[in-house]
Amino acid sequence: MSEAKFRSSARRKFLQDSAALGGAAALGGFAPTIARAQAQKVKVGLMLPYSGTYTQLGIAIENGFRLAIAENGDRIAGREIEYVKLDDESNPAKATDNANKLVTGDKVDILVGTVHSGVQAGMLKIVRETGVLHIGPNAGLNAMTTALCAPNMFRTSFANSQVSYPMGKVLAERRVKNAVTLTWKYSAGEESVNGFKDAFTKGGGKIMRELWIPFPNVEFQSLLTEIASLKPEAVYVFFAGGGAAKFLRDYQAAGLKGKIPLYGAGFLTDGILEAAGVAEAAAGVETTLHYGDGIDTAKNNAFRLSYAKAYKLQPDVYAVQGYDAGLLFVAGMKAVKGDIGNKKAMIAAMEKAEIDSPRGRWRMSKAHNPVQDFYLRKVVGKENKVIGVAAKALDYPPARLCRMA
Amino acid sequence: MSGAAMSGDVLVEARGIHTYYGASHVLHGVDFSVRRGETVGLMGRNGMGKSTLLRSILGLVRPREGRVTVNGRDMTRAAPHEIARAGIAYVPEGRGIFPNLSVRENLMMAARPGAGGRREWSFARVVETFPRLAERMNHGGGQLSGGEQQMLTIGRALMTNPDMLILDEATEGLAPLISREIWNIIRRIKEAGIATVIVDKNFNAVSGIADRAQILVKGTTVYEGSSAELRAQPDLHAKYLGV
Amino acid sequence: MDLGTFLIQVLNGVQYGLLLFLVASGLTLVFGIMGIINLAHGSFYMIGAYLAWSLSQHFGSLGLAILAGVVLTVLIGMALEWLLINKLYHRDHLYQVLLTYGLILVFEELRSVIWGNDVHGVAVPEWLSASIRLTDTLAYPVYRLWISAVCLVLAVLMYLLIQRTRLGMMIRAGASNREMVQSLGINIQLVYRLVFALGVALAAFAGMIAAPVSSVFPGMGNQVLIICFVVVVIGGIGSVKGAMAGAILIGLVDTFGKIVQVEIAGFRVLPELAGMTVYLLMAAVLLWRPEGIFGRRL
Ligand SMILES: Nc1ncnc2c1ncn2[C@@H]1O[C@H](COP(=O)(O)OP(=O)(O)OP(=O)(O)O)[C@@H](O)[C@H]1O
Ligand SMILES: [Mg+2]
Repeated sequence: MSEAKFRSSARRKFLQDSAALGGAAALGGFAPTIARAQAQKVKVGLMLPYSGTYTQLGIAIENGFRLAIAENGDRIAGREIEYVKLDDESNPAKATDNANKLVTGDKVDILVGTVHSGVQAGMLKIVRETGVLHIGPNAGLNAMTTALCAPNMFRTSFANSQVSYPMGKVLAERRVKNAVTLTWKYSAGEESVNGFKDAFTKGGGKIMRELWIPFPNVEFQSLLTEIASLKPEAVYVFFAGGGAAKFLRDYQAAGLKGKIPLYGAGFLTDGILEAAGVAEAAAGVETTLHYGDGIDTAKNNAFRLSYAKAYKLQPDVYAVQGYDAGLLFVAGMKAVKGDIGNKKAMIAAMEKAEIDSPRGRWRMSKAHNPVQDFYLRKVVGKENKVIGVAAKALDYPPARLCRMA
Repeated sequence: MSGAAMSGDVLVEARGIHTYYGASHVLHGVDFSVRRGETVGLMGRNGMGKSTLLRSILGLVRPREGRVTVNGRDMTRAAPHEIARAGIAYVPEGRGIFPNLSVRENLMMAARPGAGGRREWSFARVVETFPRLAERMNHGGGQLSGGEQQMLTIGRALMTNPDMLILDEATEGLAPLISREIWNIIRRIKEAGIATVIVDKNFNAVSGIADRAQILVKGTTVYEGSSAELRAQPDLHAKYLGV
Repeated sequence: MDLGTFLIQVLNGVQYGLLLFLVASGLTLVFGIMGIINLAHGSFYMIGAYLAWSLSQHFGSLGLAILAGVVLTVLIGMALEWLLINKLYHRDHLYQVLLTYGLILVFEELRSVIWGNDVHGVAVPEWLSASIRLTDTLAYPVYRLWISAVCLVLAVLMYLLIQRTRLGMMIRAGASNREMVQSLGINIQLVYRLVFALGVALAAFAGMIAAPVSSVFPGMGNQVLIICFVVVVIGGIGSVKGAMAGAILIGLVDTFGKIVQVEIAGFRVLPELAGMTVYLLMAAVLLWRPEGIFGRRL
């Protein structure tokens, strides 16, 4: 699509939106209630970080979601979509208020969000109280699909320990005898290490030592010294973003790279390989994640192409999670023919939906967490090259931990 | 005598000074002047506004009305350090030494040539003037006795090679012997040609050394004249000074 | 833990402590001398790191970037003191906290606008990029040793500046009696402006030399700020010597806190303390000496 054409279609969309808005307002007083409900737009609340550290993630998720809707011609089962956006600032203290604003204030039909686990926890409180339909496109807190699971809550991303479990499994299968784990001392880190540990020890491996560092401290030097003196066969870590970049470089500088192999949850090497020196420091590091570079399927290729066209950006795992949230929503809407008020049917449809995702096809578990494949990836150049499947159709933590199962 | 003829002589001149602390009106249009090399005794009972007048001249409190000139230059709105650099040195009530600096440092940090570039008061000369300090050069300022502290403050003021020295209650709380020593020093400073403004409880000592005297009562001048004349009017002492 | 590992860990602790000292010394100077609680101090650390990143790309050399960055941050410091900070000298600490907290938000926003929210790495200069192999699994990066050396040199220079120069005497005198310093003909405002700029530059410089080992990321200043407040409180508010002692102590406690407690980790409660060791240390020091190790008696 040429630059000019792209702009003109954006302009047309704007005109359509305004016309629809005018039309809805004109109809307002006269149409009978049911008809009006049908004619009204479906309100999608997007509660995502649009400022702060996670801004890019929030944008990728929204982009992905919108792309999935746009592929359906911007109308689902005859109904137009209206977005109500709210910046959650990744601030857990404001989470319940913000969620409340969207649910009871703006009366959104479905609430989509968010990135930060702490904010997600606050959102879930409102979601459970009000029973509003909800899709979580990122935060991986295990509780969302175990102890706190609920019929109206769905997740299109992962559970923290689900990402690390396959890594432990792979290492155990390789007959690695012992490992040291290291992560920030906070719930996502603990859940990640526990998933790894579960699979690794079940497969016969031994955890030599669990090392922790307070969140979000990045002074790793003493821990690296400790690892060097313990000499394990493998090191498993959970870090993300800036901390991950620093860890990888420190690992190299401490002379451990090439001596003791490093493994991690995919977040360790996602989104940071462009930073100076990181790709080199991370070269050869293996991680597991539900997405990666070089998944050569028709679906993924098509997705990457249209995403790049629409947003002039390369999609990442967050874009995929947002996209799948969109697909899940579309599947539900189609099943109830746009009558989103029919929550029961909508939920049933979302439970049954098979999502044709760029990451590969997946379904919801009984706990409403994706039952999906996890890829084994290796850092090659500036890519997280997929080199195999670490776990097929993984349902973890087991759905039986949720009352609904 | 016309003002113009006098002005060559006048070092510091304050005119119509009105100073307030918040709402309380402390100085009610005070005039005050010091000529080069002159020694002036500023007198008055407690709380009459002596320190306030001095601080108004020094720019440490801002008069609401009035004008201050130093060497003919308007200094009414000048910063305290600019006024000091115009040649005025200050020995405040309560001394104001730096307890966290050594004696040597207290002196060194103040050293600079005077307003006209004069360098008469070198470190060596100050030390010679205060032999007691010489022995305690490396002690902390806070370790000195009251009398030594007072000498240090005066010595420090001299390090700035001032044209005028303001001494606010320099002998307050000192033993008579030490007091006498301080008065001797003040006399030497006067002999060195430095103008001085002295505020002190000891009427005889002040009037003995001062060329001129000025008495404040509740922020207004009630007497201004030669100190010899003032000595000859004991009724005024009783009325304004309570001595 | 064998002796070799122990000694390496001590080195780690001292090295981390020295870097903390660089940031904390500026904080303690500005508080001790000017009476200003500067919450934005950590932001200068962040600004330094981002400057090192963007300027080193521009100049192609970290050395030049640091040089330009120091000049720039001194100017920023002077401008800030002139525009804002000097309005706070006679105000309650509450106003200082409010204003400097506001500055944190402003600096974060500016950082986001100018440099974005991405994580960046800064390359270690070629001539310092080697590592010294200590054991078969462990090497020590030369750059870390260099940081320690630079911090030590700066600490000595700062000591000489404050203890041996007339400017240092004026600075110390200003801390005890500001008015008297003025009355001696010294432009205390200028002195304060210099001290504040020095504090800013120290924090920024620490951020610059730490950039290659710590990465450059949003919010990095706030982490440093908190730990530096602990350093300053432990060492004694306003004491540079105390900042040094506090920083080394924190460096060691943080280092060993992360590993020693894990050795008894059979109990699993102890890792919980990893993040708290430095605060426990602070509580202990304050119980023993409420004014801090080198603080003046309150
Ligand atoms: N900082 C201040 N705030 C409010 N009032 C003040 C202040 N300083 C002095 N005063 C008041 O101003 C008046 C003049 O005080 P000042 O110190 O000038 O008197 P003084 O003649 O020097 O007396 P003393 O002999 O006690 O030193 C007094 O009534 C005093 O209480
Ligand atoms: Mg007085």
